[in-house]
This record gives sequence, structure tokens and C-alpha cells, in this order.
Amino acid sequence: MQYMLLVYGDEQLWESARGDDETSDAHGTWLEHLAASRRAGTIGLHPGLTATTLREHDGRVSISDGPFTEAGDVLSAFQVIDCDNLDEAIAIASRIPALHHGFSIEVRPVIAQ
Amino acid sequence: MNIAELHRREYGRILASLIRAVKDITLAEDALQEAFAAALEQWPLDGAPTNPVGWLMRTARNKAVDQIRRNVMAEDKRDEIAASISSGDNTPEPTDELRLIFTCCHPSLAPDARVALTLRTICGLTTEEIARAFVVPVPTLAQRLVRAKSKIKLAGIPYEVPADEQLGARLESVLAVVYLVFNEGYAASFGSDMVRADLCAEAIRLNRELVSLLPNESEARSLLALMLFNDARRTTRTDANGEIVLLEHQDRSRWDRAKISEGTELLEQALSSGVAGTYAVQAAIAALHAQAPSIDDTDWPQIAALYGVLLRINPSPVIELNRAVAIAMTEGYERGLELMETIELPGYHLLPASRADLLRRLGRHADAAIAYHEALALVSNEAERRFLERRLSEVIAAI
Repeated sequence: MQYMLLVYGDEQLWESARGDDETSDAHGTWLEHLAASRRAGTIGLHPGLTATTLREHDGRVSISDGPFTEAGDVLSAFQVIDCDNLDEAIAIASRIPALHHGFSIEVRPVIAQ
Repeated sequence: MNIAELHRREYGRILASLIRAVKDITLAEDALQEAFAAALEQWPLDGAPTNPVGWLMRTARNKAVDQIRRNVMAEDKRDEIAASISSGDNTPEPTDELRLIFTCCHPSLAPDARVALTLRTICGLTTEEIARAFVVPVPTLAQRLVRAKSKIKLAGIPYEVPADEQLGARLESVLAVVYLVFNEGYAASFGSDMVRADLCAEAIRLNRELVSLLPNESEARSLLALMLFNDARRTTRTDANGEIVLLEHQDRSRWDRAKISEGTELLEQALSSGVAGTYAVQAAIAALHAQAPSIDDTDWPQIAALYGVLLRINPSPVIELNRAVAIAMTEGYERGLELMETIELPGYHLLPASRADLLRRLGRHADAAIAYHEALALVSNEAERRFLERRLSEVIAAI
């Protein structure tokens, strides 16, 4: 089995918490532990303002700014893709079949390691 | 050409080419600003260079290289970037401006950020000017620009003209920005703020560039035609005291004939392509108004039919209202009122104002007064408020 651990929360709270040594150290220790256990890699995401959301409206895929979910939406899948730029990522995302079944696709840039 | 005028005319073009070289909007902006500052200092002493644009490009490139050398990063990386910035020629390429327009109007940016970014980078307006034009505090606008530029960088929004299969949808987003800029200036021409009236000229200039760079895109041509028709009568929409002059009382001899004939030519070209998009239909309506010798000799049945076409492409209660007004002019005021009863536009002052006008024309002064009161409760523009108040006192006096 594989599991994905999704970290949800308030970006601004995290930004300020990360500034203090204790949190920063704890985060570093956690990442080292994760790497040493060889259980998984970590993917960091750029902040929410860099997100783009695709959603189908009247048979047309609309592209809009920011992450947005509607009440009742639940994360169902994720893919990590390698692209030259956002347009390429949008082109690939717009081919995800779930888009035609009311799902929205959030495209979020990954922080380069 | 003095430096201010050079800035006005060439800023966007130079910046666009510079961004391609330095691959960073903020860095390019800072470098170009420094280059203009250097020009202000040196040209009055040494005389202007024979090729001012080339001089600015070269100087800005050097400033960008200086900036990169000051950056903390690996030395070989720094040298590589600096070398790529220094090479290349100093003549702006028109395609660069097009690339930048598509980047600034990318649908993954918030709509208000697209507008601000386009005015800042392509049109070269200052942050303060844009903030004043859109009536938002300067720090808010500045923040909006910073976030948008940061998103372009982090999210990897490309600096490219979209591929053919995406061009149509992406151009829609660009044209929407252009039209928004125009309308902001057009609506504000009821006021007296010159910066805002300038927005009309900026939108037209930008649209001209789009037409010349994308000659096969008929909707770009149609939008330019539409804006020219509206702009042709902009100055007759108010009198010397800044009071509103309605279409029926506007001095048609003062409408700008050159703009109207240019618009007509553009619209004919656009329609000959065979596809009539929403801008083409709107331009056709504006053309019928612009070409009519008087309000009574206006082809209202045709205008009503065109609003019907527009409704099918893009159903909206505002278009329904416009259609109802056109029908009132051809089939009678009662018919117009009947249609308006079915339109739902809460909070929009022009619905009760249009109803009030038809009631007034029918001599139903008491009903008209009630509708004017409703409109007055919703209106925000001062000139429009004064107009409605004037009409209200007229109908009250006639009761």
C-alpha cells in the first residue's frame, strides 16, 4: 500500500510559525527522519496565490486564478507532471476525464528541490 | 521626440523585449526605469543619441547585468545569465509586445490583476495613475502588481504567444482586458478626471497593436471598431458644465467622422471573415447609431434584431434591457415597458431609469416619478444622479 499525507492549513500561520527556531528545527528533523526512513519523498508547494483552477462550465473548460473548492469537494487524486511552463500543465490537466464530471483540477507549482 | 514622449510611446515595446532578454518582469522594469533616469541625466548634456530606443535597450541591459552581478548566486550561473542578457540586438521586436500582452492577460491571473499589469507594463502607466483610474488605494494596487508578478514567476506563466489551438480562447481574455480598460475610461468621461479619460486612448492604442500583430483575428478588429464608434461621440456625451447629454440631444455634427469611418472599415473587414462574434455584433449596433442622421432616423428594428443575436450568443439581463429599449423605439413604449417587467436586474439603476423614461414619454408622470426614485436609490455616478434628479423634478412638475 502507498499512502499520501496531505497537509492542509493556514499558509499565513505556517509562514509565521516557521520563523521561530523550535518549529524550524522540528520541521528539519521531521524531513531528515522521513528521508532516513526511506518511506517517501516530500513535495513542497508554492503558496496558494500561485494556483490555477480548471473547471468545466457549459461544456467549456474555464481557467481561473487561485485554489477554490466547493462545499462537498474532496481530494480524489493527484498527479505530479513535468512541464516547461504553466500552459503545458494546463493543457495536460484539461485532459483529465474527471473534469467532465464536475471535478475541478488545481494546478500548483512544486518548489524545486 | 522628448524623453517623456519616448516613454509614452516606446516604454511597453522596450520593456517587452527586455523581459525576453532578462526573463524577469521586475528586473526588466527596474533596469528600464534606471535607463530612462540615465537618459534624463545625460541627454540634456550630451545631446540625444541618434537611436534613442537602441540606447535605452543597451543601457537597460547593462543595468540588468549590474543587478544580476550584485545578486547572491553561484558565480558561473551569474555569468551565464549576464552573458545571455548582454548578447542580442537592441531593436525591440513587435512579437515581444504580443508575448507580454498574453502573459499579462493570462487567465490564471485574477481579472483585476490582468488589467493592472497590462496598464503598468504595456501602457507604462505608473502605479499611482492606475490606482487613481480604478479608485483603489495605491498600496492595494501595488500589492496586486507584486502578487501578479510573483505568480507569473512561481507558477511558470509562459512568455509566449499561445499555440494556434489555444489562441482563440486566450485572445478572448486579452480583448476582455482591453475593453474593460476602455469602459473604465468611457464611464469616467462623465467626470472630469483626465487620467481616466486617457484609458480610452490607451485601450484603442493597445487594440491597434493587436490588430496589426494578429491580422487574421476578426474579433480584435471588431472590438477596435466598437471602441472607435463609442469614442467618436465621447465628447458630446456631456455639456460644458459636465451634465449628461442623452443620445437624442447629442450634437451629431461634432461626432468624430474619421473614427466612425475607420470603425466602419474595420467592421466590414471583420464581417467579411464570415464569423460574427459578440464584439462584431456590438460594433454593428454602435455603427447603426454612429451612422444615423438623427434619433428618429435610426434603424431601431435592426438594432433590436442585433440585440436578439447578442442574447443568443451571450444571454444577459443587461442585453435584454438594451433590446427592450430598442423595441420600445420601434414597436411602442408600452411594448418596451412590458418587456422590462420580465427583466431581473437587482441593484442596476438603468433598469428603473429606462422604465422611468418610457413612462415619462407616455405621460404617466406619477409612475415615472416612482421609477426615478427607484433609480436614484441605486445610482452611484454623480453626473447620472444629477440627470435623474432633473428628470424627477420635471415629471413631478408635470403631474
